[in-house]
Amino acid sequence: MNTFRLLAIICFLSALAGCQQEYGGDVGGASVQTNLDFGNYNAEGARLYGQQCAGCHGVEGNGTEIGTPLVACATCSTISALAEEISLTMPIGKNAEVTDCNGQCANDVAEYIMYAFNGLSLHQATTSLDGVSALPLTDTLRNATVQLAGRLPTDAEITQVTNEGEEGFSTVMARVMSEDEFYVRLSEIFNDVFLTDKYLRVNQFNGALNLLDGDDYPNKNWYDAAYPNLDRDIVENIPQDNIDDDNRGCANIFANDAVAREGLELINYIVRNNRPITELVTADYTMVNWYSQKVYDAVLTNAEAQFTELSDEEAPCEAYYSGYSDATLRYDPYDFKPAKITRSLEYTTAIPHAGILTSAMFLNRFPTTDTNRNRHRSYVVYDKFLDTDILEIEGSRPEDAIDTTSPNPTLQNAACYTCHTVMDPVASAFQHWDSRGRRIPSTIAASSWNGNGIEPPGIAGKTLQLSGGSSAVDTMLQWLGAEIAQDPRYMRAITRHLYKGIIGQDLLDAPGDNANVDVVTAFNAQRSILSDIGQAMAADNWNLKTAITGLLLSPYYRANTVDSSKVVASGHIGSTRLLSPEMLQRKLKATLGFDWYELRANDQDNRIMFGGIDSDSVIDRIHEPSGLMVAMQERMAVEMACRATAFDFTKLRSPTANERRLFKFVSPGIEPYDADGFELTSNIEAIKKNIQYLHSTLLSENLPLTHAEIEATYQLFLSTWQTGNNMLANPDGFEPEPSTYLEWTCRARWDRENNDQGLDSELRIDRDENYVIRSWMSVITYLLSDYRYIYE
Amino acid sequence: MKRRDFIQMLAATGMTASLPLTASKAHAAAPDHFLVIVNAGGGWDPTSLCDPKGNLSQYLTERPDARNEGSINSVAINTETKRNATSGMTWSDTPRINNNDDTTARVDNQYQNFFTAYHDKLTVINGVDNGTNNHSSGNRATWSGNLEMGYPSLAALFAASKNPSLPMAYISNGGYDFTASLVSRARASSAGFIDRLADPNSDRYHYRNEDQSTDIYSQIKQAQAQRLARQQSDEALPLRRQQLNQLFTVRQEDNDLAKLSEEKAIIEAAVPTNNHMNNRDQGFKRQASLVAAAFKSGVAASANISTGGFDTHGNHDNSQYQSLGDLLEGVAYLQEALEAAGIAEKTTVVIGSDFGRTPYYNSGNGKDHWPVTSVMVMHPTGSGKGGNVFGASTDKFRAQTLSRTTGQPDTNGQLLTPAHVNLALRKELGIHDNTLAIRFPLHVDDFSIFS
Repeated sequence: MNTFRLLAIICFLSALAGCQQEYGGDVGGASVQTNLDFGNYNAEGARLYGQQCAGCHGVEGNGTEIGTPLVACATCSTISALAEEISLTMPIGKNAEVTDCNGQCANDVAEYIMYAFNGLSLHQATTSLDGVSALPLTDTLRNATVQLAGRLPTDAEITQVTNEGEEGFSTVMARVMSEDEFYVRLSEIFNDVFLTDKYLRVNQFNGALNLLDGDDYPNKNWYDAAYPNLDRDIVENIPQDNIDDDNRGCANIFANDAVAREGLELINYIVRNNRPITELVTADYTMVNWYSQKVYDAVLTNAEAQFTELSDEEAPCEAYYSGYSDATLRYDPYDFKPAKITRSLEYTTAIPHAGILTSAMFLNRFPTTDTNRNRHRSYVVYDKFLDTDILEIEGSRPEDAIDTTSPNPTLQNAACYTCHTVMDPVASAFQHWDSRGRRIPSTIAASSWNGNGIEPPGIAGKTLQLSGGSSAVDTMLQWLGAEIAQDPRYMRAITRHLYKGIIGQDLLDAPGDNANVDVVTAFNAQRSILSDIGQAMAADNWNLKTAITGLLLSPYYRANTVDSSKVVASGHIGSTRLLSPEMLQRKLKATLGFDWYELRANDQDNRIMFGGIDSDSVIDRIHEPSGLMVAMQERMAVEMACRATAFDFTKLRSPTANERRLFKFVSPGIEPYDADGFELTSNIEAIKKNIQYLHSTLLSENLPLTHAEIEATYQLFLSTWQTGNNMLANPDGFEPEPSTYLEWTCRARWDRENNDQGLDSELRIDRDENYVIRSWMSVITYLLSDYRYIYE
Repeated sequence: MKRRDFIQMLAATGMTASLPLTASKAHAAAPDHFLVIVNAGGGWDPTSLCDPKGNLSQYLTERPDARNEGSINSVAINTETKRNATSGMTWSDTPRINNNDDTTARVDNQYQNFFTAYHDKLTVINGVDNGTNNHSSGNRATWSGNLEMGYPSLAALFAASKNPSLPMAYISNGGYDFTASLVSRARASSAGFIDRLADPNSDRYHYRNEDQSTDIYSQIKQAQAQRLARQQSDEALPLRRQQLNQLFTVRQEDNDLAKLSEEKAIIEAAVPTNNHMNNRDQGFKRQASLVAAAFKSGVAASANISTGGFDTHGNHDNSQYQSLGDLLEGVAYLQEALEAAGIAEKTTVVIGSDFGRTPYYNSGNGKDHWPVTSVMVMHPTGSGKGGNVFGASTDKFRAQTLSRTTGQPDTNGQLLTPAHVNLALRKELGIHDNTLAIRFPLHVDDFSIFS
């Protein structure tokens, strides 16, 4: 959403903020498109205010004979301050119907009061936190483009943000969020939630296809028939045999990975096309590429749509794996389109799609058993989509958690029922889906579903009405998905996932009853800002990009300094984090033009050692570096500096064009001293200017030329240069003998940005006779292992 | 750069004042004790292992639909060959697995080898009430002593108490490994690559002469360390300051990763991972040899080794016993590796799981989740401890109140929970009363499990 639209929505919300509307239990979603009935900023707050506060403080907050006005009240300075006051004191005169208003209640009411009666604007609420200063917007832009698009901002983008401020930032980010690389990052963020990359080929052979039942999908291995494995002894046409081999292997991988990724590609499709993220649980379609469409025999929702065919130069199979050089397949494996599975399967006619809920990948990643009866899936639904940890439901666990005497403890034992009454209706809604994610209606004999002693399908106290006809029976998950999408907690769940992905931390835990007031304040402030960002997303047709932009502009992303007198509990403020293997690779590509060999996709062990996940047994990323990880970072810095330094000097640098990434202001001939030991002032100035540029481009650290850090980096350059030249002048005193040649790997003989293809001989750099290149190598090693590089 | 050189350099530049607390000299020594946590992921069945109940149709009345006529196990208790007469320690007999003689014999051999070879250093703790049958809660309870979130795993607490700044202080390849930021986890699986990490400049991209009197990379490292110290003192945001402190702490420790590879080669020459017993679960054994090597080389203090295959909701006998047999073979390998490294007398191994499994078979011949479980502790060689069973479940595999001194059923006693087991382990490991452990109190009375 561009800023104009964001502002328009904010204005519209402002207009509604003073209205009293009955809260209907939704925060927008589908209703936004029909009657714009999304109420106040905080609909729950409005409802609670009407119920518990308006009697004394007045419907418009102007006060009554028994209650003070809330317009510009003493504690109406910030949402968190007001929430704290409410938690401690309100409501006065509570009775059986009105209980304490603390925690989420206090926060919701405080938000409502601040917006409705105190003129707080949504923009102000989401972008500032009293006591926290923000990074310059251009630094925020740099961090955001590196993190989300794997590139540095262009000069034009920096200029636009400089000139237009937050509006310009939003406009630039809207463009960034249309780039392919952004969707790579988005998939990473949501794979951390759904973990379906477990089934990618890189993790398991045919991990996804093996989960599909051959009776449901007889063509799931279509590539075997399309590109048969002929017996070489009897086949004379060997070239065709090679082509078939490569096409078969390649199609197998692309088909498998497309099936594995169908849930994540659904998110990408929704976001790319500005569709509501509620479709994650309501979409009546799935996503296929050319290869997986054949697996499912799926029908594209747009019958006219055609999959993209790439050129011979872009040969996708060879691009994936160089061994597939004979493959003739050209369909783009990354071109996904919405489709439906309409054909009859073994036990069902067509799949009634409900977004990711009906994806076999989701259902297998969160499996069940005949005795578990989908309760694990229910737990996952609450956790992933409703921001609710069932295991944290209030109420003590029974001292003896065993009940073998009640026929149905989950219904009849009160200690069990507290939790199961929440969990079981959602579990029941999955009854047509078996442990392997096959659709087998519970009404037929082949189903192993046991409906005895478990609540009927429902959610949040609402039960699916089955009396209206058979369609409700058939479409339980579609009904469930629609209910989830209308549940206020869905918005919280989505913003929580984004916060984790973009800020790099879990949200603060809800403070306990005896929590320190500073902890409560921090929790309220965070909850409030996230709530507002979620509301803006919901109001913008549930556009995920709106929430992402909101997070990028929030103090949690942009924090630079904290005034500890105003913000006491502040350890969570800021988005700096240790880079994951994927993020490091993107940053290396953005800044150097190529990534580290040791962390490329096929080396899962190294990625896990670097704190990554395999989406299977290792699903928790490491955010605090061990010595092992630090050693990897240091190795990375040495190896990347070696490969990048001389190579960058091969790029064009002239008064009219400068294609260098690193050394825009110097050449290998620029030395700090002449042969007689006299300072070359202009050379030193150029070297420092380049160091200044490197601090900015690699570390996002904008320093004046006279800054001590520039001088410290220059001193490293100088000490290396002096040591090197001393060695070259007296080589006999050293073993091994120093050379004017660069180490073989560090020579510029290969195009590092193009699969290490050989460079033309006239471009190559093999020697470093004045030790300048190696001095710059020292500097690059130093900067690549810096805190500001390995953390972002 | 060696730690002492680093400290000297900082002293010379006046930066020692910014050393974090965790870098105190007390932490610099190599650990004098090591801990390995072995996690049977998915919920093991103690009645198929160290708390057998036999095939006595115990649930015939309560569970008339259960398979095997409501028996807890499909095989009887074998008091002749599966029980130590002195201690009474009893282990499960082996049912016929997959209708295959070889498989059955293999598993029987794995059990027999383990319980006879290691009986004397083994404490079996039975009748532990985990209070949950949810995987994540159960895992958390077993390994932290607390059902609620927020407590570090025992292995994390141990590593933090011993030396959190070791390069791989706490090795974790899965299982419950929450650290509460006390120590960093290291995931270590590729020893070959670790070898190359020992010296980032091992390929001499930056010049270093043979006697290291001229070493350009050391100039870079020195500049790095000085910059990091400046960043630490200048940083205004608490989050970043904390990260800088962590980085500083980890970077200033000696990196003995090269030694790890050497030790691993020595261990695997003595106890080859690919030529041990029945050659089962190579992955476990590779983890075990790496852990033993990391301990021996002084770069780690504790480790999680996690393995799966225990969530046997269907065909319990065919799967659970094989997984347990492989687990026991893996632990036997670990013990041999620790012996080969010469550190078995300094290492405690704790084996446990999320929870137990139902004392009856479901319609698919499987067993579902059950909150009662067991824990097995292998004491350091030569400690004089082991060869005993503490605690007991009922004949129907329920938890019961136990005497806190004898572990025998006692109506005036208490239920034995993971909090009690963790408290006893903390004491046994000597970390119960340090400042870190006090931050995570367990609030339970003592059970004299190891005394």
